[in-house]
Order: sequence, then structure tokens, then C-alpha cells
Amino acid sequence: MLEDGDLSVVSDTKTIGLKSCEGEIFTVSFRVATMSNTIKNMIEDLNLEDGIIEEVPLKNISSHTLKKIIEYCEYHVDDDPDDQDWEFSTPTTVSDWDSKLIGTDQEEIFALILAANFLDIPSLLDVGCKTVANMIKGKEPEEIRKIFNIENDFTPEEEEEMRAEYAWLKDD
Amino acid sequence: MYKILPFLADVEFALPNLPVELWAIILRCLDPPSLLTAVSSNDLWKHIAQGDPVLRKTIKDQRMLDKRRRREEMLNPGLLISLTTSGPGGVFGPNTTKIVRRQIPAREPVTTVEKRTLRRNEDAGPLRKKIMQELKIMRC
Repeated sequence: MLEDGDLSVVSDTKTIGLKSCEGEIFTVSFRVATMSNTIKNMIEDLNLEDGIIEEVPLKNISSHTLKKIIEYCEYHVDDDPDDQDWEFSTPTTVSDWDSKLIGTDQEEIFALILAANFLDIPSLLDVGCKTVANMIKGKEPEEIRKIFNIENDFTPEEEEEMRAEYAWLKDD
Repeated sequence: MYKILPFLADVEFALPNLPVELWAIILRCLDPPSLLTAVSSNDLWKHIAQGDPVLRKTIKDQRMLDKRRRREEMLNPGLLISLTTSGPGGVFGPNTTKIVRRQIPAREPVTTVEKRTLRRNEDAGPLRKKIMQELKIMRC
């Protein structure tokens, strides 16, 4: 049985197959796959360090999303996990490369966030959430409803009250 | 309607079907003013913000700050201290100290200042003489 730290040393040559819900199999190295804490824990718990894993079924992730996640993991595999701050801080800055990868399509972004949550990749989850936060930031309630295609579920009185309450926000 | 029949929610309520905790994370990324507008835009986020301790506290603080600011403005229109509600650090700076910006008071007209300084000089003359005399007496 390998210790926690040894996994990264061995894992360069080993590969693991990830199967999307469409049945497509993506082969990635152990090192890239263990960016996901879910897969890392699975490998450790099942004691699978010495074998090649043919396929891990990921039934709730589509091929398109999985492709993006693997691309992200391969790009960020050398990042120092202690270097990044996981505090969900107010300055919502996303690097150019990340924002390009994530794209602007809402459905894709939310699929990516859900997948990152499932696979437990904190950095990707953080990037996804920040992207959505940037979509909301500095917008009027009407605009937000338009962006997310939400129907207005407040009564006119409630809305009037809200408007009075938040009127000061437009000062600055 | 979606409160009574949850399965109809997906049809009526077009917000992407994310778990509540993920929405909470997204809302936590926002700065206080944006958070307040976002919360005022729909019911689901309002419920989430009420349920999350951090978000609830942020909103409460922001409202308190605003109330205080409005009261101060009403009571002393010429007050020179204003509490900032926006800016790079948000409402609270590091170590949760409140950011207070002091405005520079308007200067008095030059003429009065000159008069004052003149008067001060006149006062200074005799006083200085008195002190010197006292010093002389002490020396003797």
C-alpha cells in the first residue's frame, strides 16, 4: 500500500480510463486523474495503485464536459495546491486561459460546475463559481432575470418595496 | 406553484438546477452591493441567502451601514465623515475594521485667517516681554 505522497511519483506511467455517459472512454495518466479528489480517494481506498484501470464510469458527466475537465486538469497539473487560495474572495478574477476554456454558454458552465463538484476538483469549482458570479455582478435585478431567464416571482407590491429598499445602491 | 409541486419547478423556474450549496458558494463570491441586487431579483436566491450564515451577515451589515449613513446624513447634513459602502476592500477592511473616509474640511476664507495671525502676533509681543522680565528677575 502506498502512502499519500507516493502516489504522484508512481502515477506518471500508469493510466486510467474515464468513461462518460455516452460511453466514450478517455485515457489519462494517474497524475492528471488524481487532481480529482473523488478519483484519488477511489484509487487509494480500493488499493488500485499497481494496476491499469480500464474504465471508471462517470454516468452523470457528458463527453463534452469531461473533455473540458481533462483539458483543465492537464493544464493545471503542475500547479502547487498550497499556492492557490481557496478563499472565495470578493475580487472575482479568472485567468484568461480558464475563462477561454469555460466559455460563455450557460448550460456548459453549469454542467462543468456540477461535474467539478462531483469529481471534487476545488480549483475548477472555484473558477466556475467565479465565472457565474461575474455574470451576476454589477447588474440590475431586471438584467439578472433576463440573463438567467427567470420569471419574476415577486408581487408588484413586494417589488416596489424592494426597489425602495435598494434605491441607495444606485448612488455610487 | 413550484413550491407546492417540486417537479413543476424545472418547467416554470428556469434557473439552472444547481444544488443549494453551490448557489451559496456563487453568491459568496459577490461583493455586498451586488449580493443585495442579486437577492432582490428572485425568490430562490433570497431563501438561500437567508439560510447561509455568511451571506445573512453580509446583508445585515450592509443594511446596518446604510441605515447609519442615512441617519447621519439626516441629523448632521454637514457631517464630514462618510462611511464608504464600496471600494476595493468592501465594507470592512482587513481585520474587520470599518473603513472610514474623512473628508477634508473646507478652508476658511483667507482674510479671517490673516486677521487671526495678526492678532496672535500682537498678543505675542507683550507676553514675551513679560516672560523676559520675569526671567531677568529670577536671574538676579
